[in-house]
Amino acid sequence: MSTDYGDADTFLGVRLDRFARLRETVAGDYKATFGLTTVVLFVLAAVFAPELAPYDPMAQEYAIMQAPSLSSAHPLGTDSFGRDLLARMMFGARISLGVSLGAVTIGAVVGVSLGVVAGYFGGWVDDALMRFVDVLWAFPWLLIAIMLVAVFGQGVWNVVAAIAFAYIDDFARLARGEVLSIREEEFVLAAKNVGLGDVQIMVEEVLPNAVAPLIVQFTVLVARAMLAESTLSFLGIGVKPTTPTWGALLGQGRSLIGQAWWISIIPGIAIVITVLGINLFGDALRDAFDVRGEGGSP
Amino acid sequence: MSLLDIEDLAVTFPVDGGPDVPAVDGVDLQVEPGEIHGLVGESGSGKSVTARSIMRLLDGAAVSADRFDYRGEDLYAKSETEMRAIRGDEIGMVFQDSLSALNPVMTVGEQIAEVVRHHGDVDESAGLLSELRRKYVTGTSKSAPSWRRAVELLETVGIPDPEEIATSYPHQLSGGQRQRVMIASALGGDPSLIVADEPTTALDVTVEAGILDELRRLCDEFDVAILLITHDLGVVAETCDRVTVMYSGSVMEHGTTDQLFENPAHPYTKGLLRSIPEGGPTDGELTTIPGSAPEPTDRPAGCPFRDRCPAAFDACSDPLPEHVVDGGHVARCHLYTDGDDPDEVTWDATASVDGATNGTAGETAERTPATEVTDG
Amino acid sequence: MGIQRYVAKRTLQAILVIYVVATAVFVAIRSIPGDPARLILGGDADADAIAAVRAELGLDEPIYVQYARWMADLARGDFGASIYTGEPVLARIAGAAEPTLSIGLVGISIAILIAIPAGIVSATRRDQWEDYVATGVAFLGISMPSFWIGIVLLLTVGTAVPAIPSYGYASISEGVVPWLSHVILPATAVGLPYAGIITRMTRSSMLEVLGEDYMQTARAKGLPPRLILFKHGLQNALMPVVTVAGILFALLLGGIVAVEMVFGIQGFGRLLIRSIERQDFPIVQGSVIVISIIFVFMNLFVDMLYMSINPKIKYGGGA
Repeated sequence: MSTDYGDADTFLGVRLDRFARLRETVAGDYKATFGLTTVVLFVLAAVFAPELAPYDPMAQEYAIMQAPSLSSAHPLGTDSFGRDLLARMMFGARISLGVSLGAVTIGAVVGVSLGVVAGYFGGWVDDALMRFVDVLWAFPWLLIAIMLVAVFGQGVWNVVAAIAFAYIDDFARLARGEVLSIREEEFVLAAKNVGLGDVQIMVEEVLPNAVAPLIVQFTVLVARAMLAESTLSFLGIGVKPTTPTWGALLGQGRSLIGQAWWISIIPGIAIVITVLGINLFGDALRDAFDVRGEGGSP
Repeated sequence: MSLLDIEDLAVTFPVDGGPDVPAVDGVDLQVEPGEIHGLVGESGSGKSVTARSIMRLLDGAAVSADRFDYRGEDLYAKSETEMRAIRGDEIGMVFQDSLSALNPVMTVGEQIAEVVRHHGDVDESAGLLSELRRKYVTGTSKSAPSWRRAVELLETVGIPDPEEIATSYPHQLSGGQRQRVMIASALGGDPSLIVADEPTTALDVTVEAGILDELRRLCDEFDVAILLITHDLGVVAETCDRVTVMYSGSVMEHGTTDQLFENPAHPYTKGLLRSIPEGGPTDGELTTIPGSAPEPTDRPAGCPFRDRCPAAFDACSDPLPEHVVDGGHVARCHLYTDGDDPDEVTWDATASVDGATNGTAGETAERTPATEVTDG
Repeated sequence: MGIQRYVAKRTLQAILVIYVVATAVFVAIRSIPGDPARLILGGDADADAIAAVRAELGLDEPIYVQYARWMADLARGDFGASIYTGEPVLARIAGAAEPTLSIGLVGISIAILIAIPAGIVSATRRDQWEDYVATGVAFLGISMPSFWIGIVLLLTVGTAVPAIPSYGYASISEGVVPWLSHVILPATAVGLPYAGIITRMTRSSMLEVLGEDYMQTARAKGLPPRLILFKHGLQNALMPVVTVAGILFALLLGGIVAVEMVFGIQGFGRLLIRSIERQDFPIVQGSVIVISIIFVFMNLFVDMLYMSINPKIKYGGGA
């Protein structure tokens, strides 16, 4: 259900009073507070990793390879090359953050554009675009990642592309659904009567009202993207082996589960906490912006 | 003994982060067996809340009353289990929005049949497991007594082709048909009282007439009392034996339909009657009661109508009295407290509004003492 | 539009989608630098040997000829044979798919059996401890990578309980007990995130249903509360969950591959990865087609299922 907000103050198309509600929700609900705190910490660690990390993530100290956590000067232990885990994890956070945000942003831009155009124009345009989206959806993202790596070699951009690819259909369908319901609203018909051009209407009238569910979806998909990226890194697909993304750290520890289980478990815990934080925050967003849950995403 | 005897009902809803809402404050209601009793009021008068309080369907609300008896027994002293035996069995309910009140994934016949199984005297198991089996595995057999009775009831409420309709789903039926289904389902347990909450409000006038005829007929044929909640005085005039008029949570006047329409005592009732378009061409002006009903949290002390009443005076801030106008005709108005014949209340002092509908915000009535001569 | 026309239309669209996907894969796999013939023969084979192998495999023909040939084969149901082992593609896929399918199906079954009741309890006991526990576990479940859950399970249950092996797979033909004991841990790892989503969806759907008018009507009929919940509410609440559950199945695939790796199970994922590395075109193409078919027809199946249980759609418009 959307209404024309007219002159109500908005930011990025979302009414300012909804942000006030968000603040209330976060303040009142410990889950949301936890979520927001975690997200903030994560972002800080990622952005300021070079300053904050106790060691160089690539520095190998052969003397203390596979040191368990808290056993030495390394609070989280070291891996099989003697590299400090904490430092590697902090740097890994940067990559995970960059990849997740980047992938979902690209997916959102492409997906929303497709969805809005399809929903707004309807007819054969809608059919054609949605079939295209169906094709994208039918492509398992894992496969795309594998093939991108095979063709272009290892590298972070493959991961970004593969994940972005997977979320285009999500955004496209969501945006299209929103547009379909908004399109019939009276203020759009009024804009048409006044003579505004199609693109103008799409950008100025339709989009701002569709934004709230898209923001919620964005947050939720960032969480999923982090999981997807960790899966790819774990499998050794995508980023170069030395890159310390959390999934990669997990993957490196896999063969050492017997002797040095912390190499796999601890980055995993970090993933869980961070993703949980993002999910909780996304839930708070959903409550504050009053969005009904769509199928397909938690 | 009255079938339903409510005295001084008050219903308050707690609100998160705000003052409690006194939806109903001081309602007396008596429904006699076999009568059609209209409960009239505008939106927000508390009539729906009163209706739901009879069925004890108001979760979370604080309900208090001096008396709340059904067949002489205190409804609010009963346990939930005892209430469940009464709901559907002794008292049936018909809701306003038949499309949302009927379950979209069950056939109409089944929705009636289950009432019959639970409350009627058929020899069929209505336990949880049998019901679930019927729902998910076997379906209700067309030869089962409850189904046969459901079809019978559909026919009784005037649905043509009841066998066919019974297997339909609510969305396949028209509004009028659905409303009849609701009535049939309310009748399923052979109740003595049916509470009908604005059953015809959502329907066309012609369809409405049919439903009201049906209700009249059923009342006679089954000897079931009907509490008909409505905001439409026309419906009341057509169908009801007795009427209770509510305004902003309280009762203003009650009596037989004839008494009220011929000799309205309360200024509010007079205002309402005066607002009924006469039918036939007018010079385009409609009369209204200027002003609008107060918010439940904002009610003036004493008579809630005093801010809009042309005859309001100082005593109106005192608690409402009861004045017996005639046998069974009671008005709750301070104009009558001195016991003598009251000065007539006139509405002519208030302007009629051009083409406006009732209840729009406007100037409040001038407060003049009741000294005018002419009749409203 | 009648049901048959709708099914026909959707099936045609499905075939179209699969066709496009197949073509895309065909092109993509051949864009990978490298030469399968060279990979087969090893690094220092001479040019003639390589050319011979290429000719034998039909790789020397122009690409559009290869394409036409492949399409024609497909139309006959012939998926070709592995470049490496010569084994027919479908047989190879079927062999590798069994562990993967086992894990997936067992995982989903466990998930649904637990998640739907949990969601219902969560909704009916809203804001009480049952709700907090169920919702909390659900949130955790969707926040954990399935392969990490696998590792944790392996380190805890796998080592502590001797009856449950932490490595390898036993086909169901070797007996249900060995099969199940090998499958249970990976299935749980895969199922837990899925369960989390289903729990939350069920909860929110149930909450919505509980607020509907027809539930009040049921109460006004004097029906007992459990009957109202299971007879009047449940079907309405589960309908949206069904659609979601089906679609989500497709998302599990990535997780299963990683979980297989944790438990050392040689399943479909491994086959796929190896085949891409080795540029075994027919296997890769065949696999992608199989996956697409599963995705697309699963989607179609779910839609059909939904249409059959929702009377509003099944019986069309009203009077």
